Amino acid sequence: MSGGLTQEWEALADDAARLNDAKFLKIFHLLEQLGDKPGIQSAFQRMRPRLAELRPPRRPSVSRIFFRPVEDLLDDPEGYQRRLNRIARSTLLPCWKAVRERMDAGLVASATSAISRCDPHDAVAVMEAATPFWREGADAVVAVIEECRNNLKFKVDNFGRDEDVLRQLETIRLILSIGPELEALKLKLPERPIGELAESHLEFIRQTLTELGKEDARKAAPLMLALTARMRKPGDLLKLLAETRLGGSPADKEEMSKELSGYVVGNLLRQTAEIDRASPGADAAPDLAATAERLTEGLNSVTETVSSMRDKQMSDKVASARAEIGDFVVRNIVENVDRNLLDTLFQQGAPAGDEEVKRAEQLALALRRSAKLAPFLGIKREVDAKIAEVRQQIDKRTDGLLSGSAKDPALQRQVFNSLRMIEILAGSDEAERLYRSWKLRMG
Amino acid sequence: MSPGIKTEYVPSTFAERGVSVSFTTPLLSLARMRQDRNGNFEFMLPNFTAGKGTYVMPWKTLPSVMTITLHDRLLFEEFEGTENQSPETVRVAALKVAQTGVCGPDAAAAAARAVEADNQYLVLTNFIFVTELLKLVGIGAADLLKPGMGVEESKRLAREALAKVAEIVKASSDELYSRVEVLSAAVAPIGLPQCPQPGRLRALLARLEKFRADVGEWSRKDLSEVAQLGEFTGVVCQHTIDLCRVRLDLVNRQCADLKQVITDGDRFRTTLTEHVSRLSWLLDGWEFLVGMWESVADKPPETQQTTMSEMSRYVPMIPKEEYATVQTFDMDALQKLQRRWVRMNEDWRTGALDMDAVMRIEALKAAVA
Repeated sequence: MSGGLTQEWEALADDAARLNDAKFLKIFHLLEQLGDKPGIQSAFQRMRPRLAELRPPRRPSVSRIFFRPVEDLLDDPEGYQRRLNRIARSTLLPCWKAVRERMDAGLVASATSAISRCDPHDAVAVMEAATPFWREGADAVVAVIEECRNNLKFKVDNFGRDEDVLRQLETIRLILSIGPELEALKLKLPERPIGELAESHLEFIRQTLTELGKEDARKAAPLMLALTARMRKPGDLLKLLAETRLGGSPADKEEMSKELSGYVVGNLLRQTAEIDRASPGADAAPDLAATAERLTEGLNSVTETVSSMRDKQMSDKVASARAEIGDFVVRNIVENVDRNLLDTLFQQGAPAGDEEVKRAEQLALALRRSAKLAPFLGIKREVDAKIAEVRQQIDKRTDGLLSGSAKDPALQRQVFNSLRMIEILAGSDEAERLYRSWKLRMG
Repeated sequence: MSPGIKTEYVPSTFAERGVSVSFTTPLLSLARMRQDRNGNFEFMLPNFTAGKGTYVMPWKTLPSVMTITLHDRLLFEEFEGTENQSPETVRVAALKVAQTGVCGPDAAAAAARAVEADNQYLVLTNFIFVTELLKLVGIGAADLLKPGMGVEESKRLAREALAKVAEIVKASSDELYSRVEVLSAAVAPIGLPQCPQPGRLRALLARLEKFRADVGEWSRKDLSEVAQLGEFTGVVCQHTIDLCRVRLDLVNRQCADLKQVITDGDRFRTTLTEHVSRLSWLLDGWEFLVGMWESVADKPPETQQTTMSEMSRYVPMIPKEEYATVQTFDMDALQKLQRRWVRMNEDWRTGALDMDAVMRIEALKAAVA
């Protein structure tokens, strides 16, 4: 792939980014129809953050469907880290080209035609159309791995010199080999990131694990690898694995659990290390708080697993990851939230508009999220102090407004806006107390 | 009795079923409110531990079980000041509280829009009522709006025509107009059949019919066990629709002959109010369910299954006073199914308020306001 071509695609993506949503999506759909042109992935790479916001219904291209079972294990090339059993997105295109050449042309053609006839929203139909594709695909990946091992030129031409790519191909193969079971299970589980699971969900997971385990106990590992990547609390699944009887010996299962735990924890640590790459700023605070919450929940869920691993180095890493998240939360959310929130809520000379109130709500929620995480991250003192400060400021500023006419609808709305923030930050009892007090003052 | 439901699960009367209240506390969301023998308010909560049965709790005990949002506290204060709790009075109270902004700017704006739409529809109903009455003395809307006719002339003509109608009843035109205003307010939630724009409940019934069709199709296609809950929801919904249609036909027939306003005004008003009230009780609680289902229309099957399972816990059962049974649903089996599909709500254990969940409910309520 020539660097010049890549730059041209990237320049096109940057130009598209300046367009409005409708036009941006039109460019995206046109690019999608071009298929696997060299360098085109770099354009999608640039467009991804905005696409993630707009979430357009995507035409299920054959390669996208082919790699759907591994979707939860994909990392952008700059975030990719070895030894975590993850896959760099940049591996997919050469892998697809090599695999397609090794698959039965009739099967590819019939799968392509079946997939193109599917309604992209009908996940069951897409899954059924793609099932033979994944089974044969797994075998084709084996052939690609063999070719890489036996033919250095082929490997270098297609995948470069890095040996790690063989490990990535092996992960793709493992996941594709259970593609139909994994995709069928994903359809029965909540959307990712998966939070709480109902009894029915746990039963589905147990059932699939047991069925795969009966066939070959090792097949449970790729299933768990993909599923844990979809979970907010991956540790919950590790516990489930421990409780589920699979085929094979107990020692094999223990080994698998240990290996899997290593990947799960390692992946959480990797994401924590990346947290500082997120762009800071007042508007980003709610997203940053959500990221911190997700990582903390993830780390909390693996506490038991980590202690059972009796690996001091790992325990130390987890402890330092918590400290890192704590530091991040204080720097990016807590430190300036009071000024941002108060400036948004109390505009000079005019009551805050609906959009400002919604922004202030999001900031208050970010602070509340931080308070929930604080005990686990060692930042309780800082967060509590900040909440007390914001409460006091809202109280003081609202109190200052109460000298105005009680019948003024703008004043009444401002009072309720303040109560809303107090409720988010300090709870409903405190909000009611202030409501009674302010109501008395307003007469 | 609700179709196909064992007697023990079915309330005797609408009053026993209670009114659904648009609370924002997650555990109270879709709770039903009624008054006990002593006139104290009690709330019926679907089993929030995902266990069997329904909890009946007086308001005073609720704070010891959960944190209640400020919005819900203020809404309850509104109820305490109202004598008769019906779906209509509860709705008015809910809109009043939401307009303060206590549950966020979107809910406030949605409530303000709803109140404005109600007011405009009342004016329209009033206008249609008057023009329909004028037809009794041979004046049509076209006569009042002839080309070249000024506003004042139209008004004069309308007044004169109304006076002629009033003469028939031996009343003044002011008295007749007051009577029309009262009747307009009574029928406005449904709207007159002659009105080009449907009233709120008439429009909701149309949405419910679409919902019924969607749920029916979904239940036929869904491969999971939740399809049974969809079928149950659909059957209760269908019978609700049937009963509503019967009531609506009666209203339409009654309103087609507005001479009765003149000949037997009191009886006309009493029966009309009764029909509107029954319709509003029958439809009470469905709007939120329709909104819930519409919000997951484009979501993956699992999200729809979980939502259906959740919705089926809140299906408004038709009281025995309104219906007779035809077949039997195994409610114990359905409840077991619901328990398997409900994800445990964290805040019932801690009593803490999950603001994210509160905001999701607020957004849904704003969408259906």
